[in-house]
Amino acid sequence: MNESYYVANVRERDWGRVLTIALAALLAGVLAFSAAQTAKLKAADARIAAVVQKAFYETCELTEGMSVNFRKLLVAGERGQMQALLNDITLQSQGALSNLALLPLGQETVAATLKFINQAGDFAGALSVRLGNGEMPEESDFETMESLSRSAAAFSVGMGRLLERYERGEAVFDGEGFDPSNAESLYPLTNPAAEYPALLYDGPFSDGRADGEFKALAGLKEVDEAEARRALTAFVGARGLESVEFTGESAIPVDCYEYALRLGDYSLSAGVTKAGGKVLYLLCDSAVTQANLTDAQAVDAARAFLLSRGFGDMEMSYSSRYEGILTVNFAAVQNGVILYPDLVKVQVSLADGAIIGLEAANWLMNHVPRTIEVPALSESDAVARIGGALTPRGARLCVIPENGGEYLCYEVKADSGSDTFLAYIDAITGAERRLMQVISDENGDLVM
Amino acid sequence: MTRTRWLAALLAAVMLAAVLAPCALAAVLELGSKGSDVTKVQKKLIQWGYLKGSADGSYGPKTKAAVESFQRKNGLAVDGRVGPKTAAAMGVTLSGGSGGAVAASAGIISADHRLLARLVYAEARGETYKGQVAVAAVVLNRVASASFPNTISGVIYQSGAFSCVSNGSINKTPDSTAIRAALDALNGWDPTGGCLYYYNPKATKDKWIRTRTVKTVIGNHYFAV
Repeated sequence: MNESYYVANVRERDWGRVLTIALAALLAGVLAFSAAQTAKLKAADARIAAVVQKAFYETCELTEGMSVNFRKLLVAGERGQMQALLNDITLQSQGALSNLALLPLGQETVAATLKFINQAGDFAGALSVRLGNGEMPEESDFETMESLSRSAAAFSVGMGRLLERYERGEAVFDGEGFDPSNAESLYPLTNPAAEYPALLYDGPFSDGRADGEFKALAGLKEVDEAEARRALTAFVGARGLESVEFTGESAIPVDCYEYALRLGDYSLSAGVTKAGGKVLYLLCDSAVTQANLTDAQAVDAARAFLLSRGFGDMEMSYSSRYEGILTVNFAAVQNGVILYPDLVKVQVSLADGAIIGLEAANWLMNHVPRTIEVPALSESDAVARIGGALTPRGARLCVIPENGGEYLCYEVKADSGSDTFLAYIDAITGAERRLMQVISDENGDLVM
Repeated sequence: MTRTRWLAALLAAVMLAAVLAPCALAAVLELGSKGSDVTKVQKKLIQWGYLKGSADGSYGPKTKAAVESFQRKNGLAVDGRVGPKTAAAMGVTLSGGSGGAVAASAGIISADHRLLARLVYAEARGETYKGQVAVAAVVLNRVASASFPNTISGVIYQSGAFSCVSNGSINKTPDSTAIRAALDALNGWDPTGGCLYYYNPKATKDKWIRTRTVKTVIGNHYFAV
């Protein structure tokens, strides 16, 4: 008994020793590992710091370049030279934008600066296109250039000061924990009060578009929730409709009532405008994986639906398929002229042909009767203006939206080898306003 | 002794689990899938006369149609995809792993679409479908706004813009709901009507974002301009 006690005791001591050694080894391992990790972390930090530094230096260089180019632009005498300078500015603004977005300052801090650079680059790009179309800058363009040149210079000087402070070792960027209330110290990068010119120019990055008015809703009387619900019920059709639930109000950007509905197997969300009780969107929460209909059958179903809901006989422009849902894009037609600003997108379930999606914001914003000018160009004039590498296959009149305006164009469909393109030739001036490529694959057509 | 043995057994179990975990991912083959699993399935389909041609390892519309007729004939749910049941009926074992990722790539139309789907999955996978489309739409509204970068990747990777970029969850593989939500937003659906910001009022510590005008509430997110 004594002996066995002794053996057990030795065993326990042995285990204790083994445990001690194992713990020591573990500790040594952990220390070595953490030293290696610290070194790795330091290297990673240095790499990130280098990315930020590069972004900062490049922002300085590019904005300095923009400022110089705007000054040159004011004195450039020749169209070709102007275009070269404008193209330079466009590239510099793009570069400055991507670098600014890398600085660890937070989105809201650099928003005003991004906007200034965006609009300056946008103005340069648009003016360059106009010069390419044979126009010369107008007096107002020179005023804009003058003001952009001044702001760009002030901005570039401010950036230079910031760079000096940075090079003296001041922690200008303190990484993730940047405090926006300290924004003043990083002028001009972050100062929202910086006096950048308000550009009158209405380009793709102008401010006007977000608050676009809904022309088709103008003058319609406001409906209450019960009326909106009746309008929605009539729109989706009573067949298969199991429930409609009011879920709240929104201002997106037009005031709406929001609903959740159950239509057969599908759960849908919907927004109905308070003005006139028009359906702004339908969105299908449920996935559809079965496909019993062909795409052509689904397009017919979508077209018939639009016709029966008062959208008129619309022209299909393209369709694309995802699993069992076909998305079909339609444009309005007025006297045979296609109105591309007035788009409606419809989603059809390929399982049973049900209409499960609708996007009518463009339609409600733009659809009013148009006064369509008489084209100055004939169809054959327009077709003759497309690029020499293209073989035309047909043309038709359409209205396209551009820079906040609308333009009457010939849409010329043309091939180059196996590629299909759509060229938009201005029916009044003859300028080529846009060139799109049609990409077709097994999931449908895409216009890029 | 017993305790030591028990510990050793536990350790062994943990290690085994760690090794086996990657294999446990459910593999599904569908339109767009590629690889040796697809080849296996195609060989079976050719052998049984459902598919003509050669096994090229690429799951195209013909393979899908063949799978559908196989499913129809064998009393399976006809969805044109090879999941665990269809695979079992064919006597094929799917190797899993990358199979899930490949399957989830089906229907992605561009690099932008893929990135947008990743963002939606990372930021809003717990939200309703409408809430997911809304998050994707905010990214696209930023692209169109002068105060933000002009590309989808520029907006998503803008410093400090999205927490899923700083915490790495953007690198998760999106599910098909996120992929569809991103696509609907790219196709023009915008349940936020042009909003540039969103936040979860219960989770955010950001005071600045609360000063923005809220236009709509979808699930846990406030959408604002």
